[in-house]
Amino acid sequence: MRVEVIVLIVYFVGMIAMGLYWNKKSKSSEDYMVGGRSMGPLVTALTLQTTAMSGFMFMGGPSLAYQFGYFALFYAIGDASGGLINLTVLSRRMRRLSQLLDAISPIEYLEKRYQSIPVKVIGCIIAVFGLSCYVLGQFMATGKTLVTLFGFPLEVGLIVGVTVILFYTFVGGYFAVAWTDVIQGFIMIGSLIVIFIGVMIDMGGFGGLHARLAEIDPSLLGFWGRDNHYEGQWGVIAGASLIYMIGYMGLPHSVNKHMAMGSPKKAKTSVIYATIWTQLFCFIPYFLGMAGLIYFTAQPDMLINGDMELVIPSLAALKFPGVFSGLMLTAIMSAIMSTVAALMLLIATIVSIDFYKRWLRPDAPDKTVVLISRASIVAVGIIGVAIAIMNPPGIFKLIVDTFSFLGAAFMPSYICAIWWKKANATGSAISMVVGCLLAWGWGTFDLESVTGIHAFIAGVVPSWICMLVFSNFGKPTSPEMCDLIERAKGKKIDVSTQVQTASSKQLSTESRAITQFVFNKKSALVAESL
Amino acid sequence: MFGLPMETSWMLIWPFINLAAAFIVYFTMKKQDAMVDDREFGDEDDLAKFGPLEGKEEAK
Repeated sequence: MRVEVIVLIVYFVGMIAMGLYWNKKSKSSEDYMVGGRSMGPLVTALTLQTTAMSGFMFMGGPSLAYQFGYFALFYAIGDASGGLINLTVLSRRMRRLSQLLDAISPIEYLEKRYQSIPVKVIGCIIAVFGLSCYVLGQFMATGKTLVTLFGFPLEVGLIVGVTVILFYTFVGGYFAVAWTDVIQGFIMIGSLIVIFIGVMIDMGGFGGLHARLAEIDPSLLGFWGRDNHYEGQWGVIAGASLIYMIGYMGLPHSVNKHMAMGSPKKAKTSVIYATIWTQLFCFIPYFLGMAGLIYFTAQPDMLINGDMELVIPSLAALKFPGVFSGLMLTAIMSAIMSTVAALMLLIATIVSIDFYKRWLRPDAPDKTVVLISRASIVAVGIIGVAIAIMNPPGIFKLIVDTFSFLGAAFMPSYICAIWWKKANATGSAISMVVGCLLAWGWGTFDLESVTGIHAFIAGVVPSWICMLVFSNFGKPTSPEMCDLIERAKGKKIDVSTQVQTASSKQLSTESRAITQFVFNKKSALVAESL
Repeated sequence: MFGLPMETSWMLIWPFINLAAAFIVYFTMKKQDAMVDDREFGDEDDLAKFGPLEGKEEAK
């Protein structure tokens, strides 16, 4: 048996074992869906980032760098800042407000914040549709990875990979997803760094990489893309950077992580962990994509199936056959599995909590809710595999379009929920509908190439305008909700710590003086009585 | 930088800008957190510092 296959099997078995282990720890639906709101800063940071970094980073991103050179780095720049911005803007207040509202799903959170059933229904439809498309993109990446390794048909690759993902999400819930994300995060970063160092030594550092790229085509080093493909298209460049820089704040499976944090004060440490991890992780795949262009221009037959999306697995097989190649494939599977598990878990949460428990059967016991959520995980898996087999889409376009769709729909609603008391159900509902429809239409009808404006920008700008304008109409936010939003800022300590410390020092001096006085007085009285 | 044209060189500095921003955010948040009592949201440090909450103050 090939070494790569053994490495991958060991990895699969490990993930399933973790799912089984955490299954015993999940005692309630809150444990299963938000890990009992007990996640520490490292787990929060890594689960947030590994969920965000999907198969796109190993396949879609490098293939873009392979085609367009340095232009692709605009996506990396946005991605590298995304975790930092997301945690800074949303984490603490969202963690507090979600607990005050007793919300365990990001859609339930929107419904309760905006006090509106239409917001919930619109949110559920957009989220389930968008997240399912995202899952589909990850399934495609799974299938391609396993095809690379075993050489068997895409259908078999899809079924094997998806079965493993389904199993550990199915049995373990949020605890399993969060903890496997941490391990997967280290596998992803470790493997990428090893292959990156190897490739850069071979290239003679950045200087050598750039010199060889310039030999192929000097425009690969410019930021307009190869042959100045995107020259003057600032709308595309802004979209490429902003989609990941701010778009994460609109992804339900990403904002969900804030709700599961152990306490709001974990956020600051998560910012550091998340930022260090993303700086190490986000840029390397794009550099490997460009290095791949150099290798496979010279040896075109070494690029597996001639598929640009397989540039990293091809590089690993070419430069590090054996264990490292196996580890690289494991890293790709880690990126895919961590994202898919979070997506499936969230779809399950929306279906079981928002549809079933809070709409169809409010008196449903916890056991039934968990059962429904697991049934929906299996259903999404089967439907996703069927679509991927019948009509396989391209990973890059599918992920970017879905990201634009979800980001444009939800970002204003999540940000305004905690930062703008006046934001109401009318503004939220209209912004969601307008944002998702425009982003979807822009992507579907390829208006980007006609207008030079990225689908994300085309969706998110009108979505924000709608939120700001239409929140002035309809039922205003209730005084009770305004009070909760105020509480989500955090309860101020009456006296600052500096004052406390200073006064305690002062008090201790006074206390010592009083004690001394009493002691002296007592001694004097005793002496007098004698 | 490393044979890159000027207009793309700044891309290589971006990770360091992010790291600097993360530390600024960290220290700002630390200062803000010191002024906030998060016992009702299960912050262990605050619970140790200020003692347990009374029942009526706990979050829903």
